[in-house]
Amino acid sequence: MRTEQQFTTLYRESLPLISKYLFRRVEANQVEELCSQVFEIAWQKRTAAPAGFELPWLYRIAANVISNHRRSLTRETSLIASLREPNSAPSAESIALADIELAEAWAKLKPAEQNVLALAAFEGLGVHEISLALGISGNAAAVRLHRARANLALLLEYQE
Amino acid sequence: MTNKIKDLEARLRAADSAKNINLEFSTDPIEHAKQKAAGRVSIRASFALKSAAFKRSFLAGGVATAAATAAVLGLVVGTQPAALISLGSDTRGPISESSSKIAGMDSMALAPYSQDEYTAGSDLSAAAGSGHIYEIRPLADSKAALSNLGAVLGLDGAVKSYPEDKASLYIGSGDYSGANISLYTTNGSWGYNDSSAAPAVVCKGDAPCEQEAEASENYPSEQEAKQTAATLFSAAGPAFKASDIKIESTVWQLYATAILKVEGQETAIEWQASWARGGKLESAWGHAVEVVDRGSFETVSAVNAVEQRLREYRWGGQLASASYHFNHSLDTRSFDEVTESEPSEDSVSSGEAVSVATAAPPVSAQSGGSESSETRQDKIVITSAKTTLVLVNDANGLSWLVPGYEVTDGHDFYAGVISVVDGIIELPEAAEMIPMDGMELK
Repeated sequence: MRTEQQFTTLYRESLPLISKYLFRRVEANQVEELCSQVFEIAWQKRTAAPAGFELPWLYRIAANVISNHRRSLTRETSLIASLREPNSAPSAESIALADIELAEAWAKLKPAEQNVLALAAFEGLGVHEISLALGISGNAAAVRLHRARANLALLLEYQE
Repeated sequence: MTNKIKDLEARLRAADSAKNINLEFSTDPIEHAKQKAAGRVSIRASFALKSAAFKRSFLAGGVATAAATAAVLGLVVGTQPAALISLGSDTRGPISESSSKIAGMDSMALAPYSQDEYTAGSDLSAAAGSGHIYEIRPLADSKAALSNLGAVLGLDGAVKSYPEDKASLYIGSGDYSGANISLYTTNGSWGYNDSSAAPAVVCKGDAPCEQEAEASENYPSEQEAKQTAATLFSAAGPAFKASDIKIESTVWQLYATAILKVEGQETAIEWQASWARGGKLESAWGHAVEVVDRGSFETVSAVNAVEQRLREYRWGGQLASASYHFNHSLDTRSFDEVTESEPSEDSVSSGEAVSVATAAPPVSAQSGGSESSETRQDKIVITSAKTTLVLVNDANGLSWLVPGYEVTDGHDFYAGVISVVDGIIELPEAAEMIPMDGMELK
């Protein structure tokens, strides 16, 4: 993707999806600013976008933007928080608005499991796209997704 | 894809906070993005608020923002310079583990909407006391600490920093594409990840992916894992012996965990390494820190802590993980073992699994139940308050272990509360409680 027209097309097609991705994961009043950051970075690095997989590439940029945003909010004040790998998953709080039991189970998943499950269930990505969005191998993405589904189901099972 | 997986993902999608959101830019976004990329203007494109859910979340976001702002102001203004510690805004609330996982799980944590009433039981002491405060100080030479860790892990190469985050150093791939270790210099936390260690899987159509190596488990021996973990954890920070390491084997990974002990007590600060089924180290994390004794300070009584502080989330501190009596054996059972059969009576009566989320509040006047819009109003009698060290986080990015109490009602309520007398620890500004639609604060 090298031309401005190509980027503009990508922008207009993916803006609603990236906006929702951000809405699920950050404070609503931060969505517009972070969205602009995502596309600012995307514009700067547009020649690196993998052809045919621009959307997962944008999600990966967005995940980094969210991680930095969360880090700046807390200034990594917590050992507990910082020992986690960078987390860009939706919070349990956002899920709790609709399903408190699911939110409780969600909160017990590891950040990596939340991330991979969110990309599958909320963003609707397949394993290969998830691997691109997370910057991990397809195998690793598949394993994570499998484990995350299993663990979430297990946690819900215990609650019932 | 199995029906269970389909049901699970359908339930997740139903809980999607953004499913009915329609976000619109009021200005031409592409021009703004390009201009912003050039670093010349600040985009303030407006989203239209299209749904009640959006508005609710907007209100909730306002609370988090207010809390974050309060922390910043606390740093700049320094209203109580005499205080030893100025706490950050994300200090954990004195609420039970299952609740804290919801309200305090990340940087966007909100103050819990709890109206619980706490009463000190007759066995609690009314005597004041004293205890030491410990600073968890990052090692002065972060690069050396990271190099030492890298050497143990077999990662050589130069220590680099991320262009966008100079406070983070790393050796290796710099992302999750291969072996990589990074260290956050502000507080000394480090993390290692090697995604190539995960076993290969085969995905056929919509069926759940199967691990090729699932049948062959090649974990290191328990003693090997303990020794490797002790060597790694000790490479930067407190020294651990193999006998300090706890091992947990699951169907997915083998875990080695070390817990920092201070004054002979376990604390909330932990180190962990995990091996993939193939036997390769997959991830590890820990802290390149030293524990610095900052002196002895007076403490309030257990009765005072319970009745004056427990309801105030800003006095909360993190307990050692074992204190929560949380189920640590969930992962040791395979998915199929549980999903293909009903939990046995034994699994419920063991006292391990039920505390995850199933147990109701001990004395509940109006429990929240499944309606998130209700406010919990529990009356809780604290029957035990054990002196301990609780972990708190200050506004400058550092962690501290301070005297506190581990309190419980003897059932499913556990919490950590700071016991240091007033004037030593400056609390952050209280987050303004803004009720969401349908929620009433009393």
